[in-house]
Amino acid sequence: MSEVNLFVRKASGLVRAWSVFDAFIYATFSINLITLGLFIFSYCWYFEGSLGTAVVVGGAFTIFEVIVYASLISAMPRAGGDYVWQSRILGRGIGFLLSVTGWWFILWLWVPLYGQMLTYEFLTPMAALLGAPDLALWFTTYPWGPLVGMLLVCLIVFIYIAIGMKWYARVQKASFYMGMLGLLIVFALLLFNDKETFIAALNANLPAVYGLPAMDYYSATIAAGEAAGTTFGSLGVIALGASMAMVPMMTFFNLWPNWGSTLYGEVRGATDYKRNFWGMAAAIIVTAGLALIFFFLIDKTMGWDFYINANGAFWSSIFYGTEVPIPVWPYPVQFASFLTGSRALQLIIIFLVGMWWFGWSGTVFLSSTRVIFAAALDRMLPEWVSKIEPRTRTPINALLLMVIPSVIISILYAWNIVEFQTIVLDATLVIAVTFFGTTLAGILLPWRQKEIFDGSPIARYIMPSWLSWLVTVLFVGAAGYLIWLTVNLGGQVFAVFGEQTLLTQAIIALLAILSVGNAVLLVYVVVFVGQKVLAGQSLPLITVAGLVFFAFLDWLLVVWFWDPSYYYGIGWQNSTSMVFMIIMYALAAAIYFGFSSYRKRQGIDVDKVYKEIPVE
Amino acid sequence: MKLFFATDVHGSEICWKKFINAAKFYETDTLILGGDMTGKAIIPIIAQGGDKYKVTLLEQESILEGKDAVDKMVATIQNRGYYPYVTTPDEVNEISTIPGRSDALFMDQVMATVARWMDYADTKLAGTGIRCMVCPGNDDVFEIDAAIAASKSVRSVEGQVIQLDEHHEMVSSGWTNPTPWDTHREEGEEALLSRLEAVISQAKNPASAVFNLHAPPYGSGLDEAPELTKDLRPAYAGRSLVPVGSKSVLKVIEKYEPILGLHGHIHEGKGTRKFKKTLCINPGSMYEQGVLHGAVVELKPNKVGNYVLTTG
Repeated sequence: MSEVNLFVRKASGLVRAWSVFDAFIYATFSINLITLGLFIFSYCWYFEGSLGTAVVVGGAFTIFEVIVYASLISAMPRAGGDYVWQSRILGRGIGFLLSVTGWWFILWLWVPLYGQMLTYEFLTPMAALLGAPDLALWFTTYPWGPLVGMLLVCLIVFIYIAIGMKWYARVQKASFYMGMLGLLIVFALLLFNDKETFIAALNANLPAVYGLPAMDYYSATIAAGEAAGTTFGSLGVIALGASMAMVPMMTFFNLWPNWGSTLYGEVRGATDYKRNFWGMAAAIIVTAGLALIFFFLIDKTMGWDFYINANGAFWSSIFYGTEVPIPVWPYPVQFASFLTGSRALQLIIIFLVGMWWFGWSGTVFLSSTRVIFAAALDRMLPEWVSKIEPRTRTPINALLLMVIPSVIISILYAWNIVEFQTIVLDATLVIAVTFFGTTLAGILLPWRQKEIFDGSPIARYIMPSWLSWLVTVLFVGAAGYLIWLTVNLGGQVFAVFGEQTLLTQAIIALLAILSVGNAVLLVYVVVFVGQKVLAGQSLPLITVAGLVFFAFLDWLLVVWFWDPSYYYGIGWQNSTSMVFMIIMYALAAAIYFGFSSYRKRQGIDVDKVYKEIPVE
Repeated sequence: MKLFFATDVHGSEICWKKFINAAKFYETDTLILGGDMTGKAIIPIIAQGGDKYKVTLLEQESILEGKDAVDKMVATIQNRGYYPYVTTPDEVNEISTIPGRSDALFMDQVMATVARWMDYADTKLAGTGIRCMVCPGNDDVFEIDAAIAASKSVRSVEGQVIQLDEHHEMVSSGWTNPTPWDTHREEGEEALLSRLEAVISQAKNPASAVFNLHAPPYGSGLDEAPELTKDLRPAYAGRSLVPVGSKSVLKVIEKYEPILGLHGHIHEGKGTRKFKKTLCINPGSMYEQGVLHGAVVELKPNKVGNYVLTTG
């Protein structure tokens, strides 16, 4: 008989372990290969590296994110996520600023992106297959078609919130199985057919389904892509250096496994940490594996050059008005479905794979409404924002705070006003900044919240001394490199400072100030961790993983903002992007300082909301 | 008047101490603890001979050497809301195998802890003018009521109507609707409604009262907990949330429209909800982390004034 080490009595809340597989399902949906993945892969038409390498490298760094988040969830569960972790460890102002922007405001921009994916992956191909090619092409034609998709996003998500988490969890799980079945059929079609068959199927189906004139779409698409300046690396080579440039693109889809995190139950220990870790990590690994399989099947049956050129031709037509033979987004799932002659099966495939969108789309407002509620509880927003409409039990005002700005942003996006369609990656950057704050909180947790850490299941994960030293030394090197990189890239920008408009000059000056702040932060972390290691302390796993992910996020921010090659299009050269982000952070700061001051005048000491009560 | 409300500290020593110190920190004159004071688990610290002890906390086995290490572990265990118990391998075997032995041990630990907490409260609150009221919840054994009653500064208010100030009474009950765990103070909705009505009937003016009822109102959003499978696993990895609050509590709140409802029970259900003129609050609980969730509420003659939820 094994020795008993715990006695529990009958008490509420004592539950058994939840399913890792279920957690894996939700994390897999969050780093959605079909929606986020295929969308951002299609943007990678002007890089020389290997998309496969970029997916693997991006995924590898995300594992460290998984460790940080699984650790924080274990140490401070049910706390309210990034908002409370940051508020408690770094301070209320930082927690508010980063969480409100990363989990609320920036979701306004995700709505048009979700809408684009809905029209490209579902509405357009479904309409075409149902015999309405004009409607299909209308859905893809800006501004009205995609705008309808964006408005549908608001409607669908409203329905998800109205039905509640109980039913949304069921919808998600059913969608996962249907979506996976659809993907399996796609893989089978690509696996058991060859390139000649595909070329014939593409050329036959495009006119038949979309009512287009008969022609050699395969060759014409490659030619159009080449004319648009498409460049790409071979899929079969590693090309690590060149592929690193694509890693900041990959984060658009693989930075979100933590959205699937969960932790429930009490008097539970380290196995729950492992369950969370494996739920999220398995999602990263399996998604990366599925992406690689998809890539190699595309390469084998469609031809990698066709796929990348099709993407280049399409986006070049959108951004630069160049000619494009295939007037719809090159959706590899629909291309693969052309390998069957059955319209019914094609319809089933689009429907099944479309479930990747429908099972995932609710996430766009769910997190936001929670942050709005959390801010209202802290009295940093008026009470009416957390009102629940009694009949539908929906947080109607919180939803309106999402829907109204989202519709405005969608209109700006659909009409491409001030080139709004160029700021796609802002949607990732702003959330990455939030994660940056949380990762710093994770690094500092063992010392800033010592009692919580010492009493948590993650206290057992202490790294050996040699590894603590190694990671610290590597972080010192990474910090030095990042400061050097900033100076180098910033120097290139300042060399052309005089040629810029006043607005751009102001943006460059702001970035310079932020970069100095970033350098100070890096040095602070180096000194903080260095002192611990020099004092003979071994670093906890959360700190070690945090250092790696912190350096990775810092690198992303440096290359996104300074971006000398204009790869990502959201840095200093793009005034729309920078002004959009400045407005968001300024709005968050205005709410924070405005409400802090207002509540203090009301007699509410909001500064004490997250302060630990001193025990005498 | 300004009150501080917390709930569901579940045996966490540090949370109790924070609760008692909260009045001074948040500058309130009244402390109210909503229920579920007692812990759910005992962690044996098992003697291994030669001043060595073995303990497994959160599935992490540690060997402790000497009294200082044991004392430190005892404090860690107490702060998480568990009861540390220094023992021997033979006694552990007895507790595990002899029916009723673990219940008796739990009772000893619960009573000793409540007595220690009352002593702490008496020491800290004596002469301060701060009132402190607790209302045991569904997870609390009945025996603790007497232990609380023995305190000079802490008052047990189960089933009572208390005059908070000249304008406000407080109606209290820690009883809840049934849970899957068959806990001590739970009953069917019909019986619960009768119980609540009986207490409310003692109030002179329920419309200006505070309803301190452990269970949150059904469907209020303050009662959302993970849906459980038949074998008590969170379904859908805990993502499926279902309302588990009390329909009786909802009924009395809708019927009497008190100015304030103070609730707990569902640790994940942190939030506020307005039912007509009633503000309902569930501050939630993070007792295992030693973090005291609470609410500071100002009461004006016929309404709730300022309030804020805290993470202390």
